[in-house]
Amino acid sequence: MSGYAAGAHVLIRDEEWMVLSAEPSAHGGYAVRVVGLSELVRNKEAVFLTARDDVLELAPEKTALVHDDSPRYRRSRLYLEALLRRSPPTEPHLYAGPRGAIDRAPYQWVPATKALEQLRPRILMADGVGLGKTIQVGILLSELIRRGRGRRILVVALKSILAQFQKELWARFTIPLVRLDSQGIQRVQARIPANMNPFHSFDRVIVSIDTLKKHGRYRAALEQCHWDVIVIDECQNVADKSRAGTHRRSQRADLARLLARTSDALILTSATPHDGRPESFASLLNLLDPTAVADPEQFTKDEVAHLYVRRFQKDVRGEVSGAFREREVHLDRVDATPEEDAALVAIHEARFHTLRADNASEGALFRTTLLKAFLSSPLACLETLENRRARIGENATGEAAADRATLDRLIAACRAIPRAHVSKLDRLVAWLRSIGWKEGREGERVVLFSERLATLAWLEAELAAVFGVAVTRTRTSADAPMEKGAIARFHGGTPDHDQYEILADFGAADGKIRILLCSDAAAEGLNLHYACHRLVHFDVPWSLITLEQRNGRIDRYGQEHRPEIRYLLSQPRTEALRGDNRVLEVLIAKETEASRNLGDVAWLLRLHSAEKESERIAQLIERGEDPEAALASPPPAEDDWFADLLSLGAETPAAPQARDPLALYADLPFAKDAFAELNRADPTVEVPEWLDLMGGFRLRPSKDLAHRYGYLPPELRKADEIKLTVDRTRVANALALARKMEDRWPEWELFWEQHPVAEWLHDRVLALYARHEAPVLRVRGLAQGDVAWVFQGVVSNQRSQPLLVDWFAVRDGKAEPFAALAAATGLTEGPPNPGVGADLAALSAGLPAAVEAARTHMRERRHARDAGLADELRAQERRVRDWAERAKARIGARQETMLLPRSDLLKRLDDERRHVDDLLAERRAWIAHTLRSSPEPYLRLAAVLLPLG
Amino acid sequence: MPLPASAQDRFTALLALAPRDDLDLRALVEAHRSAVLRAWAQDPFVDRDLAERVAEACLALLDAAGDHAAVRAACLYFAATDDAEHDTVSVVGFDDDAAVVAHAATLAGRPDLARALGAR
Repeated sequence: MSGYAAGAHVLIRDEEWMVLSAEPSAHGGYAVRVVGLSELVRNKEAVFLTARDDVLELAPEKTALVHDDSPRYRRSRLYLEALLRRSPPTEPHLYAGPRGAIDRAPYQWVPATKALEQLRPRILMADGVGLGKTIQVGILLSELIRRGRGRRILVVALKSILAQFQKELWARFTIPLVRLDSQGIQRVQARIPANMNPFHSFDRVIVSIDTLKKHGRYRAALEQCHWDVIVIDECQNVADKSRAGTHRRSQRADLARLLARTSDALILTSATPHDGRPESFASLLNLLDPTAVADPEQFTKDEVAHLYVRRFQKDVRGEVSGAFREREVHLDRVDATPEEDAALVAIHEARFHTLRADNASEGALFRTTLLKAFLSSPLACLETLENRRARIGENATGEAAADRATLDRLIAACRAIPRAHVSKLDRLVAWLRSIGWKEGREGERVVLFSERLATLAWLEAELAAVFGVAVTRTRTSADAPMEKGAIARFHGGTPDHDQYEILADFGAADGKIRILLCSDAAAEGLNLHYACHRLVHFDVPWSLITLEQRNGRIDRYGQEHRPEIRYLLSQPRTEALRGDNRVLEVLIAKETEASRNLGDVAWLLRLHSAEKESERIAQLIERGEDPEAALASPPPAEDDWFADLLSLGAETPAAPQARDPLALYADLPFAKDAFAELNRADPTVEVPEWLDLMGGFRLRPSKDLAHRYGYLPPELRKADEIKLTVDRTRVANALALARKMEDRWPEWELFWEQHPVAEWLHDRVLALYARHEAPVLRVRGLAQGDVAWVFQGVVSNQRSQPLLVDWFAVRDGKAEPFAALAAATGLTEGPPNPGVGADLAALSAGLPAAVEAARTHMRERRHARDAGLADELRAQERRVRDWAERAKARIGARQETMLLPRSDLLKRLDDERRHVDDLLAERRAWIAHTLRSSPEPYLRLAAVLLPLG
Repeated sequence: MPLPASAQDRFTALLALAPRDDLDLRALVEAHRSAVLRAWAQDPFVDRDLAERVAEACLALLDAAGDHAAVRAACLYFAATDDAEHDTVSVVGFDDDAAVVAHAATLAGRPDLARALGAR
């Protein structure tokens, strides 16, 4: 027996560590394997030789008892409060997330509750468009942070929404993420030597998947990192889209698999979590739990229901009435001009011999490609025609020459349409005038979507000319300023910083941009509903999924106005050509209906991919099918298990429970007392200006607090003063206001335990007592002769993460809950300090017995916890074993069906078998490190309570 | 009841060892049962309940068919800690023991004991 029990806390080189194991060393003494607990060494593993280093066990029996002379025992209560705030809850109830600066919407608590019920918190948040997935992510992240499992966070999102995501998580949950966009990367490169891992320098990062893909350095760095939580937003982009039997995964899918392996918790979000094939959905579920699905082509809801949540507006509307507004849909049928009609006739009559659509998903016929382009705008069609014409060249002969002649005719027809007088443009202008659109502060904001960049560029020029306003010009170099005008274009090719600036200006009250012309790159993830409620589809995408995504930009949770959605359709004068429009009108009607009643629009056509839907519409137009009949939803097949699995969503847990953590103080009184006490102990700590009417205070950061702020993302650093409040409504209003002020961050920050100022206060307050000291208080409610020894007991895993935390008091050798004792003794209000001391030496003599009783209590609790977990763990182990057997059987079946077993194929099957074994081994290692508790609980004597007098 | 593949080799080897007269199988089973109880007191992830049921089945089989080679091999299998699933490290450390003893029970004409152990 070494005397260094696993789980004990020790002091080595003035840092606090937890002992993992101790073995006799060849150098004499023991080799003590430890994991770091104090800030500088947290989570770092090390081995120390007792022959070389002093290893001081922080035994609770040796705690020094001290008097507290502060008024109403302020010092002790602050100390206890800071300890309580650092005590991670170990039950699945929600303690932190619902207290962020958000509206009360319990449906948004469900994913966090479901994730925390898992042994490993991993979840796919697959709600439909516009239900507030970022808030749901923030809730779960806050819970994980509260539990000591969210120190290192990596968020991977689309580049267009990095800034939006960063701002929401900071403003609502005070989670500071360093944004690694193009500028962020430049900063990193300037600051960190090339051979250093950038992810070791930042604990909380937001980055786009394309940055990770593009920059080899980042990918290599990721392989050497471990994260507590990884969030992959819009995760459909990392789903494995390879077909069965093929083994070519995309770079994004490979990257996602790498990320999934390097993190404990994993949060995936997507409104479109599959492409209609079970395999694509299974690939996401397998990121969460590689042993969830044995056969990606066939699995049951029972196997996977614990891994995802999927609801739609219709499912939650009743719970948050008023948070969603009924949309107003306008279908503007505009008569085509004679020139447009002539061009349309020409397109319909065109026959090509050698030309096909570039992309099969656009339909087989080049004529259909042209029609689609024309329905966007004549300019888009002209662009397509001229590109093809250039590719044929002048020397073509035979059929190619005939095609060239046809192209020339169509080019002439399109050129004959006056650029400034296109029917849809005229209608758009008329409508803008009807709503009194103008530039400047009073101008209405409008977002307009088109599939074609040529259409956007043309619209920008024409609208600028008609209204006599300037357009926004993106930067010519990184240092050059952006020239802003009333109209801006936003598309995938817009550099990330220009994207942020355009969106910030569009949302700003005094911003210049009032018309935002967007490609479908803006259709995913962006929150435009704060800035505007008017959306125009200048062309109608041939996909319900894209339509829904576009509309979701303004028709979403928190929209304060009635969303106004306008579709512009050019109506051919020639009756025979109107069928194409009919198809689009049916599409629009179906999307509108689905948004009201159905939920998942993707099940209408059962194609589950925008590309496939577009392909189907092209086919329908080419064949002249009746759209009502052709677009009627196919009845669900009785054996359509996948539709059943997804259309019903995953069962949600019983009503999620939010609880207030055990506390002696509310946030603001804590801050007041803490600053007063710190100022008493150290007058250089400046007391803030209290703004009671606003529920907060204004603070000039002291030197050490300013130093901490230096580690925050540059966007969040405040040079002079910080305004903090506990009033959630004020924070939400400040966020709303900040959105209206270009490039501004909310003026008010939420003061709660997660805010850096609160964390700084906790550290300072904990330092009011030396390590291994505990205050003695005299309180009411105790009988003469009673001594209540207040303990914090922690049972940790091998990674020093707490598995069980208990606050209790030992009185007469028996343990009792601290919560009840704190209330009964007036600790929650602050008992008067009678200034009566105690014989500390005599009191200390009783400490070893109290510690022994505390140890017995915690051992019993640990045993009960492990016993309670064992059955579930066993059930999971058996499930995983079954999974492995089925996975191997499937591999075996594939081998048996090989007619000619090729060595490369056999090797691949062997690799797959090995992969199954590796996953089993990884899982067991994870259980050993994460779920198994250290045998010896950690005990901290937090205070001693004596009766008054 | 089929023997699990992971336990096949060990069980075959034990069949060769099983006929030895000097083996006090009952004592071996009891000793292992006690060791498991002690391990469980330290670590509740040890599957004490299943270990108890397997031990009871072993003793019942020794009473009913103590000469049967498969029964003797199954008892030896149970008494070993580091078998296909380590008894006190794995949370399902007795699943393989239960399967082996159930297999032996079937061979020894006691399908009731096999059923009592459940098909895992």
